[in-house]
Amino acid sequence: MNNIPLIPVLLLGAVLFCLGILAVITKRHAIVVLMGIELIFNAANLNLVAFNRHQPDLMQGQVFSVFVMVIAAAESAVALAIILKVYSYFKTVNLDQIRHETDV
Amino acid sequence: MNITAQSLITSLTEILGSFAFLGPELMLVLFFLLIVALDLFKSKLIKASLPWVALTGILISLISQIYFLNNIQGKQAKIFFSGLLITDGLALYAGLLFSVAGILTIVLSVLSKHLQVKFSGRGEYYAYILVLLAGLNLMAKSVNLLMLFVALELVSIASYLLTTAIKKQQDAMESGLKYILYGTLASGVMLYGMSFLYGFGGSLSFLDTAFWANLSRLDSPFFLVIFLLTFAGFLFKIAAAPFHFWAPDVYEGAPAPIVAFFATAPKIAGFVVIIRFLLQIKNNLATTLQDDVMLLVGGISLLSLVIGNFTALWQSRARRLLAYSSVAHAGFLLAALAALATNSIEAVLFYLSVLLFMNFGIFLLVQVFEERLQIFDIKGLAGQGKTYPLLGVLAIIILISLTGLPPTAGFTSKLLLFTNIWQNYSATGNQLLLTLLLVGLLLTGVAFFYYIRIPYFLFFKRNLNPEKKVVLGREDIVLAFISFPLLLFFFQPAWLTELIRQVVLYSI
Repeated sequence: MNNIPLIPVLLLGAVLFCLGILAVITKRHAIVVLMGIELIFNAANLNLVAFNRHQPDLMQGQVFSVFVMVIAAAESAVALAIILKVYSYFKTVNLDQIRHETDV
Repeated sequence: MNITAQSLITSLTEILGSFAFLGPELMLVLFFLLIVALDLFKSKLIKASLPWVALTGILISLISQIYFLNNIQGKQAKIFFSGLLITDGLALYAGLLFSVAGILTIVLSVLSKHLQVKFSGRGEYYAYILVLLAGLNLMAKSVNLLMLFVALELVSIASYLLTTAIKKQQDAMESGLKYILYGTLASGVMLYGMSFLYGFGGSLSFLDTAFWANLSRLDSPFFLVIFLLTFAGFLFKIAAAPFHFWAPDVYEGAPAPIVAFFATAPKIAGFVVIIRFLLQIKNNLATTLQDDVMLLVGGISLLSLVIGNFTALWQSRARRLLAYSSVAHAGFLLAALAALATNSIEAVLFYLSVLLFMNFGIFLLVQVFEERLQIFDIKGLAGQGKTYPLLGVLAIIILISLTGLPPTAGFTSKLLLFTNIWQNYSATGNQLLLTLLLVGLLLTGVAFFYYIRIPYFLFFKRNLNPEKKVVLGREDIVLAFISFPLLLFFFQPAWLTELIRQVVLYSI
């Protein structure tokens, strides 16, 4: 367990974070954007678990990541409910086409 | 074995003892559960009583906060729940403001015909407000990264649900979708920053000196990146540029009472968290790192001031105008905090307290004009001030206060803020503070132009049907109550400043 080096794990986290940001910026489908955001949460989780090795007895990083997973799930549930409702009004979930006529 | 049992008993006694400091939050959660339970009944009478139940809950939590604040002189801040939460003057004063904001939100919602007619889940609406208040209180009290994250997400999720409270309205759904996407992105970025703070600080508690000692060993650019990532979540909550994109959409789509609440309470909570972080940075980090942080906060402040004020100039709809002016207010407040000085907290708290009354006043006006008169853009206001003289006069008081002119508390708060920046500039000679002061003063002039357009249209434009209607609705009385403090704190600012001075002495 302790033989796993820290740097590659952090790099993997950074790659996940960048992929998430990239998905949020380039994709226009609401659900794909949500998936990008989940990638960012997972990047943070990976960091937290990796950094836990500094004080393995306290388990702070591990506990933090469990909290993050629960909260991310709650947030996606609300987001998906809103996306469903948006679809029933606008008949699309493309972020560029969901626009009220008064927007400037 | 014996030792484990011993430590278990000590931690259990500590947890039980900690509940005494959690009174306001426990009350809010209790009434939240009560409303959820009462909402199950079909009786019309029970449904109609739900706002009053919520109001009782907030009042009880307000009373317990006043009880804690009552004799704070000479007391020490206390950390409880094994380093998760703190009770100090800053948190208690913020709690006071949250409760006032909550009460005003419920009063405005009861007054809103729109909310009462289009509502399908009335009970859940009031339940979300209570749980949002509990989250805000916890956010202002948390001194631990995990606790802070959980409290912030509690606030966020309740906010998303409240934005989409009226499910039959298209633009509410649209703004809700934009809000939740921007919001989760901001909290994800914040979490990524927090993971690095935990990794390099070696602890989750950000009051530890060891935590900051570890962080001060980092290179400056690397620390700044972590700092900015972590602050993304807080800046999102206070609607500072470049994390303000949600504001115009949400301000336009959400019900007026909720918008007034969003423009006030999460902003206060965000600033409390930012103050806690900046004070720790000032006390524990090396001066070179401090200068970089100052530059960053100053830069964000400048950006918010410029974007907020200049974009507001071009808006034709009142709600969008107020959204950008809210960004500008965040810029003013950050300008005072950029000095990283303890003495700026008093000015910031005074500004936030006055902002609370101004926001609720202006959004009650927006609500009255939208619902009673079907007016949505500023041009439609033409001549209405002559038709409704009382509303017109109250509108002038609130808008003069938002601009920052005498004789209103808005002037006093801007004066305190700018005096404070000038003091810190004279003390340190930092050019950044002088720039912020000058830009702030100039942009107050710009703000004058867009705010004053509303009274200009109200009184100096010709009305199409010039009949005088002096009706005294319930809204006018509430509006008069909200505008009263704006005049009071101009003539008697000492009443508020004295309280704030004691509160800051009691803080860390």
